Amino acid sequence: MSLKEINETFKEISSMKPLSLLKCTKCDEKLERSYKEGEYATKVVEDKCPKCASPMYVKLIYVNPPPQPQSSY
Amino acid sequence: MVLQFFPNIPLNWMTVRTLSRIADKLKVLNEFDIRGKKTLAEQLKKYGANVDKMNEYVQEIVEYFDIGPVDRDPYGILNRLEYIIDLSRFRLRSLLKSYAPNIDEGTLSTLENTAAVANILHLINKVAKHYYNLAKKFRNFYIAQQIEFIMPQLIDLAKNYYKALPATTQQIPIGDGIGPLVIANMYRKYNVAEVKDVGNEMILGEAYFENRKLLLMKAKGPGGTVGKPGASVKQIVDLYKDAIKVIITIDAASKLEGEETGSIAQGIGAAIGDPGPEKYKIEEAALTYRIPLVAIIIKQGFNEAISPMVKQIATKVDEVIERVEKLIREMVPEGGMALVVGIGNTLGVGNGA
Ligand SMILES: [Zn+2]
Repeated sequence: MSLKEINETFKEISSMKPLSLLKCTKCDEKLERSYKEGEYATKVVEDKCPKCASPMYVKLIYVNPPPQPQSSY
Repeated sequence: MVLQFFPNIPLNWMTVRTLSRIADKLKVLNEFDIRGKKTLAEQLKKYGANVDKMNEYVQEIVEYFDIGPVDRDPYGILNRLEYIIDLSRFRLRSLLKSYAPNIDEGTLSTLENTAAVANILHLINKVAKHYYNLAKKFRNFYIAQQIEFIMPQLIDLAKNYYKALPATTQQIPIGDGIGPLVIANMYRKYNVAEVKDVGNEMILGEAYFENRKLLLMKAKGPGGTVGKPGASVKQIVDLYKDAIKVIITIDAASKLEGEETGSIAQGIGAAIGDPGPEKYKIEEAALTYRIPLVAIIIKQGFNEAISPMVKQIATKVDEVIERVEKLIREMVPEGGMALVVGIGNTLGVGNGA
């Protein structure tokens, strides 16, 4: 891996967008959206359930893994 | 033909070539090191560090080290090891706090993670440079070759540690946090209204499941800490003794190359990857009252364990909970009690209610 290739890695890392999976506190409705700073798993957020309008909490936070090109170092 | 009279020439030539290839790769390790330090400096600045003294602060942190206990006389080594680990953490935390005075306790744990990553990126760079310079100094082809052989792994390692930085600066869960994430989701699932701080940066929530009492334990979030689960397990087991019918530990574990990320397996023992003291305490507590010790692991690569949690791992939470429930139905009679512990770094994972 050369310096040029490593810059691709840095770009890939900085473009990594975390997502929050919200779940309704009353029903089973789930909703995936971008992660907002200050959120953590189990935190109740401002979003309301699209089905029953109850408060929602952050169930999971994750990233979609970048495609893994098998580079030779 | 001429070379036959100067047998060292081809070898020297190869040494020079190898060294020049290593030098190229060292630049990459150096870049990781620089960026690690930069991120650390930005974080320190965010929490009020004196900008004029920043270089000095960063240098102090990336050069920070601890010395493991002597093992030629192993008597009491785990106590000494635990003492060194505690002391090292305490000292690093005070150091960070003195540099970044505006930081609160929870965020301090997360800054500690950032500092640890910058420290290790610096270490990798430093060690690689050392062997490069050694090979150069003695014009030694064999040292040069060895460092060239392990260079891809070193770059990979540095890259993976570097990937942990955005997680620590944004406070989002890393792969290793799957254990605490399972427990946090259990707090929600069973409507645990209140969790108790049981010391050692650990929390405990009580829930009821099909006439059985569940004691659900994890490190106190959402800052980046692993807590001292061994000490807390011992404390709880000493309290409830053999009323506890099973101790279940849930942790991320290294997968073998070729195994699927996020696959779940079950076995016996304490699923915890600490240097020893915490694991020892869990085993000891279980043994004292002859409580079965069951482990559930969620497999992932080392890189996945230290970087932001991928969807493939996070979405296994409900399946792990189902497994825990099944185990409890099997092993705990109605009216009985189970202790379930989520092991790992609780970065970005809160405390339920
Ligand atoms: Zn709803």
